[in-house]
Amino acid sequence: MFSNINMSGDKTQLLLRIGLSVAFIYPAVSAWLNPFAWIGYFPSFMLDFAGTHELFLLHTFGAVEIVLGLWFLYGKKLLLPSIVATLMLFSIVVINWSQMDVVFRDITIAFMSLALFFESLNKGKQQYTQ
Amino acid sequence: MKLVIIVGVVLVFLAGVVFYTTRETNESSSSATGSSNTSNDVSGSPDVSDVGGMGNGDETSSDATTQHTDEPIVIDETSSVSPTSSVVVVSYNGSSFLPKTVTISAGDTVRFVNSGGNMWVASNNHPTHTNYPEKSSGDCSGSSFDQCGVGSVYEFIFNSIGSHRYHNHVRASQGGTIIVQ
Repeated sequence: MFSNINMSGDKTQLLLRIGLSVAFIYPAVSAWLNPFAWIGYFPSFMLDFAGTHELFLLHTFGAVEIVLGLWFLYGKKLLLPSIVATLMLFSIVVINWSQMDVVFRDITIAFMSLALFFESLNKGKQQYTQ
Repeated sequence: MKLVIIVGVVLVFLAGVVFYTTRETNESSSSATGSSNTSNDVSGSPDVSDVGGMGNGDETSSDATTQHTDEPIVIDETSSVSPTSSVVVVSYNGSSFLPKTVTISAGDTVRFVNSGGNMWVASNNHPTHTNYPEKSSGDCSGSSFDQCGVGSVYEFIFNSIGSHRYHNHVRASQGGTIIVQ
């Protein structure tokens, strides 16, 4: 798997991918080790829906984050993970709007993933037209 | 090969940061800090059935109106507090704190007792917990009024006069007010 990871070409893209992978892997790992520090970030309607399975909700979300983080490191076919990451991050900002002191960084990261999305889109178009 | 090294370094770094910060949080939650002595019995029991929405924090004010939903339990304990101070009990039943608003004197202790669900009492605002004005080097977050983890009992001595709102960090919409006169 690692031999197929895209390391060539654009250093800018590589830096974006590393930053995004950290932004997604860190909270997932931290939530695994200290779940109650993170569970409060979920909106109430999701916690109510989860009921007694709120930790399952937390770790499922964490698994998605791990997948995204590793996919960014993998570096191929980035359209899907970048748009999913963008939507996730903007959703987190909207849901936690009252906690802008904490989530303002998510706006930054969302634009990073959006940049990666458009960069991947442009590369795909170039490959298609060649 | 280079990539494997980079990925490995990133993952090890992340794991180390998480481990280090988690260990610091656990250590600070198990030790008493300064004049605002706290005790925290950490149980970590996971099952809970809570009701609530997202809560917003308010700034500390000294002229908040209060509504007592239940009479607070006041305990005169001279063994762990000064002879002129009292211990007021606030219970958490998994969905709310009762009584929701408590009025005490400066130097009194409020004992938060968990009778259901996950309880992590902390000062507003969620999640930075910065509103309560007392801070010390051993704090796990923005102020000394922070349980720093889920547990069954949490005590805090309120020395700062004013109206101090708090919440359950695990369910931010659940909270109450401590009015210190």
